[in-house]
Amino acid sequence: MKKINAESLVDFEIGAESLLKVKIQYFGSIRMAAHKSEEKMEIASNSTVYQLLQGLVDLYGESFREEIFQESGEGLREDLMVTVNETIIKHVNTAEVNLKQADVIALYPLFPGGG
Amino acid sequence: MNAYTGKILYVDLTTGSYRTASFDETLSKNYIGGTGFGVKMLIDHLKPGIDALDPENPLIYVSGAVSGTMVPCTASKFGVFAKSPATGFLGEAYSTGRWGAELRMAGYDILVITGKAKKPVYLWINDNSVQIKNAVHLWGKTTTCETEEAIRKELGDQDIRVSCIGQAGENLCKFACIINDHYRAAGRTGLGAVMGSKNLKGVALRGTNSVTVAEPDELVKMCKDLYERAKGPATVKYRTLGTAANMLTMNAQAALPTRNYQSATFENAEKVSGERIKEEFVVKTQGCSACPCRCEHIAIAKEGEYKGAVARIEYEPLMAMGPHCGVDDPNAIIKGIEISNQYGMDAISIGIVVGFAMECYEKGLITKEQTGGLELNFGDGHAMVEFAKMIALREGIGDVFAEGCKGAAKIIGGGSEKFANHIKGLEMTGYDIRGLKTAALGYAVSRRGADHQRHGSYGHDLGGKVDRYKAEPARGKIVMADEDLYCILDSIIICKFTRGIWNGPYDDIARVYSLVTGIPMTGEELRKTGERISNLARLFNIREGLTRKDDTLPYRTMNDPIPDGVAKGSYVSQEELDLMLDAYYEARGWSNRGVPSDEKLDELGLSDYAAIAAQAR
Ligand code: SF4
Repeated sequence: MKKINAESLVDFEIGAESLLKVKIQYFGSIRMAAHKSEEKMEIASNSTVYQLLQGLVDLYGESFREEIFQESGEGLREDLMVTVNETIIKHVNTAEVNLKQADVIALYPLFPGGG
Repeated sequence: MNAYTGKILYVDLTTGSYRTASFDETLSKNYIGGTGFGVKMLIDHLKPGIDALDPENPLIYVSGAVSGTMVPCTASKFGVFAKSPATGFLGEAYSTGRWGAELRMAGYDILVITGKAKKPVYLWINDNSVQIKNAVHLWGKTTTCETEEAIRKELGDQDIRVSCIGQAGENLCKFACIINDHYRAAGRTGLGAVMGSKNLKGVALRGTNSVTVAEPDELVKMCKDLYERAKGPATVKYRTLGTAANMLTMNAQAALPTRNYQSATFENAEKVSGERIKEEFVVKTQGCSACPCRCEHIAIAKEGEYKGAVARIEYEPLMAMGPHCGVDDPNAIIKGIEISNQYGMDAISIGIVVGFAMECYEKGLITKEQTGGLELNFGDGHAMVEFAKMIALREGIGDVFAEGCKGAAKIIGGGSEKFANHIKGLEMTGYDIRGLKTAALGYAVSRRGADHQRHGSYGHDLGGKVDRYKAEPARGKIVMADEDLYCILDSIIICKFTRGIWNGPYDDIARVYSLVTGIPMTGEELRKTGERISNLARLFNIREGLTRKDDTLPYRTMNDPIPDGVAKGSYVSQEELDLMLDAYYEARGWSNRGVPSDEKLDELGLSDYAAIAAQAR
């Protein structure tokens, strides 16, 4: 199981008990940027969804960042859907939603149509 | 005026005559192009109350405001308008490819076709020359090779652009579409049937004029920037994977129409996912003129009876002919989309209609004898494809389903109207809106019937902006703002895949508009123009008999809760819909019957149309 770089998560605490084991699923073009469809990770116990996303950006680099964050600023892309245990998380709440043991976080790009 | 040709071409197929007329900056500034021109021309030219298939129903082609210029992701677009045979209200559809720019280069912003030819014809517009040509030999032929290529060959010019119908349009199928550039369709609201009703097989274009712009140097600078943005993060996902990637997203959120909306998740969604299709079936990507995105994903069926079938893959047709029909074989779906292109049917509606027919078959309302021996079971890709052909050709009971879900349910009866999934007569699209409340309001009020493309409000529900399950008054303003913005996107006409590259977005769009046309325009004026167009479209529909009761949702959406997945139990009650409708009408300055007030019409410069509203009050 991978541990996200401590630098990328605020208040990262060392020690097995303090870690949460979560599953992250990637869909569509986000899957292409992460080069995988899902993975399990250990993260700090008090991590928020927003912190996890920042940590993933540190892990996967620029093309992944472009899938998640707006070009300018810290805001999430409007066409990004984030779910925790299948429930859509409001973008404004991602910094407040704390992750729990065994949570499944899924990241979906939305593809609004053209006609 | 720059960019605009300022010219309208009127063709009367009954008399075989044509004339041109001019328009000035007032029309351009107040209605922009695309949707604005289409709605304005239709309300001014349609005799109220006539049947959609009456020769007097004008078939109107319009270019976008910046068609034929270097502005990326816009230059190739065009719109088609008429009274819709599917809904009896506003018929509108947009296509891309290269036809739109060619119309303007031929010297026209607007083409209005009325009347009915005595025998099949096609229109050949070659700059100033307008000819009505015999098309008897093309009648009964498919669109792409048999008509589009045949016309090019016959006229001896490979650069000719053709917009044409297939057999479905000739047979007045209520959801027939108009095809151009092989894979592109003015798809929705049955405008192919309007074309067919005129004995018009197609319109061929060749334009050699150039399109002038007001401030070329500044425009080049801005376009360079837009090109960079259009190649960047805002659109890259359309190029790499395309809209088909929505499949797994909708499935995970129990918003994937499955087996005629009997379910909102599909157990075999992975098999028809965008990811799998990209990996195993897509052979090339290509794009429209003046667009760096190159988002068209062309797929080929690789095995089985449909091996070799070719289609452009997008989420909506993939959903309609896949999960909606319970079909998990991409080969059959690719064939189904190819059939819809070749025979000229709206690739969304045909899938929704076949899925509806499958439920009729499941419930014993139609029999194997009536389907010509086809076992029309959910999940049977062969039956799906063959039945789609029967509909296009109006063979056997295909004749009944060519009337669309609404029309077919009336004929079949037996309670089938309770699972005929349409709004105002137009078949539903790829979002199960029972658990998407903002989208539900957007669909209910959409001027062209069941539609995600006049508002895009599902983005709020799925994109984490609002609580998707909650109906609340605030949704009224959200939907209104979306609709007015989309009016502008569809008037300029900007490909919605690239909406993310426009900052503001009204300010960026207004700036491009002014640089191209030389007509001063601010972001706020543009927003107001969007509102003007929305209101005029509403007045058109009111004149054709629309009332509040038409702003509704399919029976199943309002009565049968989603049975599975994360949205299990969701549906839209009448109370919820009424609450959101009241808020939407109020936000718009309309009465609670959905009629614009005199003050609103004055404010928008629409008081010439006040009598329509007065009559409806
Ligand atoms: S994004 Fe795709 S559909 Fe839109 S204009 Fe570009 S190539 Fe055409």
